[in-house]
Amino acid sequence: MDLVNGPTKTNVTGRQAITTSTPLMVIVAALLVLLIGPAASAAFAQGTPGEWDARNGIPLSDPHQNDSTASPDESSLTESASADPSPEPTDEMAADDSSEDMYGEAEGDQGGLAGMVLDWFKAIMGFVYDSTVGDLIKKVAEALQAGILGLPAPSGEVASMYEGMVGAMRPVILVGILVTALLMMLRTSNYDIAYAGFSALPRFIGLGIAFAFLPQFMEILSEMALDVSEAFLPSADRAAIAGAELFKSAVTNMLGAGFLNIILAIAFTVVGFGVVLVAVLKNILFQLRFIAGPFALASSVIPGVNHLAASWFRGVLACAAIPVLWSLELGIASVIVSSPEAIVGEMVDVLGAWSDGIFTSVGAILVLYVMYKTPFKVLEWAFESYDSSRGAWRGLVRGVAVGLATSGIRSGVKALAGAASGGAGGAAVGAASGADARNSAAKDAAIGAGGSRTGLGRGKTIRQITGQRTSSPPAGEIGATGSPRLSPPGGPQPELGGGGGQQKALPAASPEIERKYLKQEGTVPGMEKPGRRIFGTRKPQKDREGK
Amino acid sequence: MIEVVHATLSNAAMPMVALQAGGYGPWGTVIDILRGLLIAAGGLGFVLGMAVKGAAAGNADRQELGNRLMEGAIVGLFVGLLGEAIYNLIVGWTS
Repeated sequence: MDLVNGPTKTNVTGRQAITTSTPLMVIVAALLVLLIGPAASAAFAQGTPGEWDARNGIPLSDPHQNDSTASPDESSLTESASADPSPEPTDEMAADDSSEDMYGEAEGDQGGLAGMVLDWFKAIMGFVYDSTVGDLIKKVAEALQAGILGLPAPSGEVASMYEGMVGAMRPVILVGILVTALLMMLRTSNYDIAYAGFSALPRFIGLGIAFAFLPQFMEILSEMALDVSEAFLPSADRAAIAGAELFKSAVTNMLGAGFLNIILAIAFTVVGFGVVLVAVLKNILFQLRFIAGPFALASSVIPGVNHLAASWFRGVLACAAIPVLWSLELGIASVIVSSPEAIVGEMVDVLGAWSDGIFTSVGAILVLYVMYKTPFKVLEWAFESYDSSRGAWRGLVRGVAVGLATSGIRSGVKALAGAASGGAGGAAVGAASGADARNSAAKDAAIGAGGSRTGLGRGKTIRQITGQRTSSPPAGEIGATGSPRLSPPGGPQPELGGGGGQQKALPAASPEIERKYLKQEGTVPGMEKPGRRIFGTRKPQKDREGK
Repeated sequence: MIEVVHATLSNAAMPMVALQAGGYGPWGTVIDILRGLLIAAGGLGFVLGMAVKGAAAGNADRQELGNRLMEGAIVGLFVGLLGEAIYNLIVGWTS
């Protein structure tokens, strides 16, 4: 079966480009596409790259190999892989198969020097491909199958590291028991025998159970993720058709040597490399979650930090969800690549003069881009405060760096202002900073710099109450510290989202909202109304006589 | 009086702490401190509870205070001194 030979793939333009000029760019683009196209198509094929046409010099893999990632119904996969993924052969196609080569060129219609050069070129490319790229692609395809849609179960050295972590964290159980006993002793009316018997001690037992069975849980989760991913994958014949179409488009467009095709090849390379990197990142994250499991589980019994355990668990689920989502996206990709008319309708041939099968390449690039973005969105869900919308890593690093810098500057300036001139000096600093000198900012500055946290409490509380997400500092904070995040004159303004990695700001609280809620809460930051308990304090209890 | 109580508690607690210390890696120090605090507070609370009850005579509130002090001391000592046994049980069940 010839996957790349199609009935209509004679590319006269490409032939002319090669035979007349033979630029170096064509060869470079050819090598690039030959490297990337089959690898990506093999990744799309998912276990079906075997039985690729040996005439094309693409002996990707033996269909009976790679059992580690084969689905249970391997027989059907093998049959489908060996089956012709192209549409039903017709007499015309059979004739084409006998007369066309891998580039869709009709043999026998080329003569003279041009034909000889083209034959030499194809022979050299085939030799280079067979001796270098073919074997590499086979290995890359197998690695991509296991790496992208697999979730490596912790084992070996990683499991040993986990055991070490458990050994280090397990005495937390004893620490918890002793702390519980101490609390029972000191505040026996609150931490009584019922608490220890029915709440604390069972949690410690649960912690021990979690330590013991986390490796089994992670292994089961890994197997489940792989099984579900395989269940959502496109069918074997569909994947084979998609892979063949993608490769065919890449090879035929390569001969076109158009500038657009080079751009597409480069874009495909970049995005595909990004997907591979993200897949590696996903695997690293999963192993990291496993090793950090004892710390997260131990935090689940410590009041105040137990949210770390929930975040850790969401991260584990995210690692398992990523390959499942990728399998769904690959299913869509197979449809886009194999039958783009289902997505773009009659537009599929509108750019035929520029690039043959452009929607195949563009669709593959778009789906790869979606696959690249998927893990970041899933991780954003897992870590609620993590924002991957504008450059994940850059934003993370920038946020940490800016946060550290501004907090240090803020505390330093606040200390200087407070030590030098007290409340009046703080007011002067606030006024000099130009932060809303017209309204209440200067007043709040005096409050904030005068040793009170009123200003900070107000701003924070108003943001909490109104649900606003803004990086504009509260008025008191601005006035008191001369923070580098100063608002422009005229009051706090929302920061524009144009800067890289910056939070998109919402308008600051209006004066009406500020007045409304400041009346209710006094000077205590938080959402409590006057008279309500502050979170973390205990409700006054009656003694046993009901007094 | 206080010095005598302190010396007695220290003499009683230190061998127990020394006996049960070790084998907990980086948590060994924390466990030692907690166990020492627990034993010292338990003993002190128990003695104070007895003293309060002895001085309370017919005062019901003071009797109640003494009861609560002794109750806390006994419950805390019970759970704390059995902590290692409970811990070993948990580890044994879940290993």
